[in-house]
Amino acid sequence: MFEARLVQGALLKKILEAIKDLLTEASWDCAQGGIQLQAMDNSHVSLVSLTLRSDGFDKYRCDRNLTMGMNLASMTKIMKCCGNDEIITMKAQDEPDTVTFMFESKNGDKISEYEMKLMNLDQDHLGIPETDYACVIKMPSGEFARICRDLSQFGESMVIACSKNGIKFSTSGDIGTGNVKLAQTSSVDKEEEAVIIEMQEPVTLTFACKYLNNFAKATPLSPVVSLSLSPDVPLVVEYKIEDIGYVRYYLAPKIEDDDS
Amino acid sequence: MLSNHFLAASLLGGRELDLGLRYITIPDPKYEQPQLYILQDGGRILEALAFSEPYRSWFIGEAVLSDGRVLFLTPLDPLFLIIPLLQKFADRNFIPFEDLFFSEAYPDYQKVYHSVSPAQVKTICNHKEINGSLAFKYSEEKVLIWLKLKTTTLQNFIMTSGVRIPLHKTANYKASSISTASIDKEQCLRHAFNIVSDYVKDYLSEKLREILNLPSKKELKEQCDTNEEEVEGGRALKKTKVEPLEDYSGAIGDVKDSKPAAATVKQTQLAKAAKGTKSIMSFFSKKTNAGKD
Repeated sequence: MFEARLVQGALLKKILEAIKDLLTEASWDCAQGGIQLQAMDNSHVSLVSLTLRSDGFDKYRCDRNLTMGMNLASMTKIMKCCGNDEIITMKAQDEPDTVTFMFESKNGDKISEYEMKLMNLDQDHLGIPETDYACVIKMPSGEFARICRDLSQFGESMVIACSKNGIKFSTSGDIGTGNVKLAQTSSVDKEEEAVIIEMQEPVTLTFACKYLNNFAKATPLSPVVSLSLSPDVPLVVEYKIEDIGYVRYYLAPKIEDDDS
Repeated sequence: MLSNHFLAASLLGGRELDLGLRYITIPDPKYEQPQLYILQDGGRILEALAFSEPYRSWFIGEAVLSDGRVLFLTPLDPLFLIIPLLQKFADRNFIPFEDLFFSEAYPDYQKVYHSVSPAQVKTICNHKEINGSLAFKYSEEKVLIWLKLKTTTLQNFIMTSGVRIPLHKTANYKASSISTASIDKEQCLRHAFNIVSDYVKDYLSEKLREILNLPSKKELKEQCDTNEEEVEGGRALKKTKVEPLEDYSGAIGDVKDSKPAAATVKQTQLAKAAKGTKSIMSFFSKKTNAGKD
């Protein structure tokens, strides 16, 4: 028996919004400690890792570890039936073929239940090694989303260069070039609005804009995003979800032209 | 199927029914076999119709009753019941009304006496007054007029009530195209005639059929056969025409193949954007359950 109740139902809706464009289907691994999701996009260049700790739920029960393969388009349809202020309860049997989503209105006078068929997904889990990144940048998530959106108009790929002076996002395309430089915030009034750079060595990497734009769809989950970069390893874009966990996106860097 | 299944005496097990119903045994008007009828307190006579199917039983509480028939008790015009009696005993002479219902073989006829008024009997008999009491003599002519009236009344009822006419009793019945409004007048008449002839002897129904100008069963059968041939011919014609326009049988494999192509626009754009990027799998190794770190 698996049951997880989340009073902030909107949170699950936001999480789904953050991953549904990247992934078509995904396995939700439920265990005593919480729910985890790890999946690659169809092109296998990015990886989504989602963790929701059990203590973040208002009620959590998981008798046996189970994996629920879900079609995210179907799940999105169901989540659209859930009001933003409604309470979500996910339920499943021990060896489930279906998962039930129950939506309760705040005053409890409306309860909707949706049962969704599960899929058998044959997905490999990847082991992600602990890495000390050369640069870790914390910045307002809205700012990051804005930069990705603006720069993706010009080109398909974006160069992220991190140095002592700050961080530079740049792109070039048919119509010209664009770049945005962010300096480290000197006086921190609000941590959420600060740009903080922890740097061991300068890093310059190129990534596909389209993917970064998709990562930015997690912006409603957290006011702060953290970007971790090291030479020749995937970029990590992390959004902490308050009190419950995080969603992390890994994106492999683009191969430099002169390499090929 | 619903049949004129006259009630068997064994059914009641010799017990009198409650509800002011008494049963009487008199011959049925068509075959003159002893049958059970129900006499209501007010003098109304009911016949029992049974709806029976093979392998049908009733569950009553914890018990099973193997006789799964559904019985319908419906009022019956008592004149039908006394026609055979009149034919036998009042065919040549005028018989006083009181004596009409006397039969040695079926003493229960006496009980029908109260259900029939002399005025009713007048409709099927010639009558004259003897010593202040009415005497009757059977008149086939009057019986046929009465039967014709019954049939047309029934026909009108069938036409207005929207009763469905059973398939086997109609000549040019066409399934599904039938609507109550368009039921043929003759079909209704035939159906009414079939109902009425269940209650009279065969020679009488034959005469009634002639009066009503309906085709005989033989003629009807021939007509039916030609109809069927036509219908079947039509079907055969249709069969040759109706062929699948597309072949769906071989498509299953193709569908599977085209699944990735059927991905959303977003997915294809994403795949395009992924070009030039290394696979993430070249950075992260597959995690085996044993080597979990």
